Amino acid sequence: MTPHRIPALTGAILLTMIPAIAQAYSGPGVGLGAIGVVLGILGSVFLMTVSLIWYPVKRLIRSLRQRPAPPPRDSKA
Amino acid sequence: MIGAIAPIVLLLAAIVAAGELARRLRIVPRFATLAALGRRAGTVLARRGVSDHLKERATRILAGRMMASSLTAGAILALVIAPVVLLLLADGTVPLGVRAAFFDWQARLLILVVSLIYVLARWRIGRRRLQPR
Repeated sequence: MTPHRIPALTGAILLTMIPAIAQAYSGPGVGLGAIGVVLGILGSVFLMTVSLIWYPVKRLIRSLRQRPAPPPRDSKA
Repeated sequence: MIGAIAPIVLLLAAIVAAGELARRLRIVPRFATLAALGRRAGTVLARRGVSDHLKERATRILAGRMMASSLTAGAILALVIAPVVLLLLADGTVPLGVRAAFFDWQARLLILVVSLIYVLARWRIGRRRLQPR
């Protein structure tokens, strides 16, 4: 840990000790459900990225590699 | 000591409404569907011997289904917690004493016990209804 992070971490720990009501409680069911929804959205974005970018780019690279090399020019002709 | 019983009854009613909504809207199978879609997507991506063209189509279809399933599950989750959230919001404008009851440990203990009794009774009734006649 770098030295300038220690005061920030200490401040964060001290802030959590202030006895104020955050009113940000969520139960385990709602919390896990929200995490599941967020993971589902992220997963669908990842899958869409894979299908729209990765596979077309892979196909393009493969077609460029498989393209036959042009015949060498005959200088005598 | 428990200050007043009315806020506790209101909170209990909101919690029971949330539980009934969760049952009626079948929230748990939707998350199971979401998990199954994720597993299926992983299987498709890791599968060998399948052309990239087919994988591309399959991942596109699965991405759409997963997005729809996630948004539906999120909307249902918001609907399920709506009674409790609305009650707490209403307590901000009209002081009903619900927030005080929400943060009072004795009131919470009472709510926990009554909610557990309700859940057990509801589960027994649900099982009895499922029995073949």
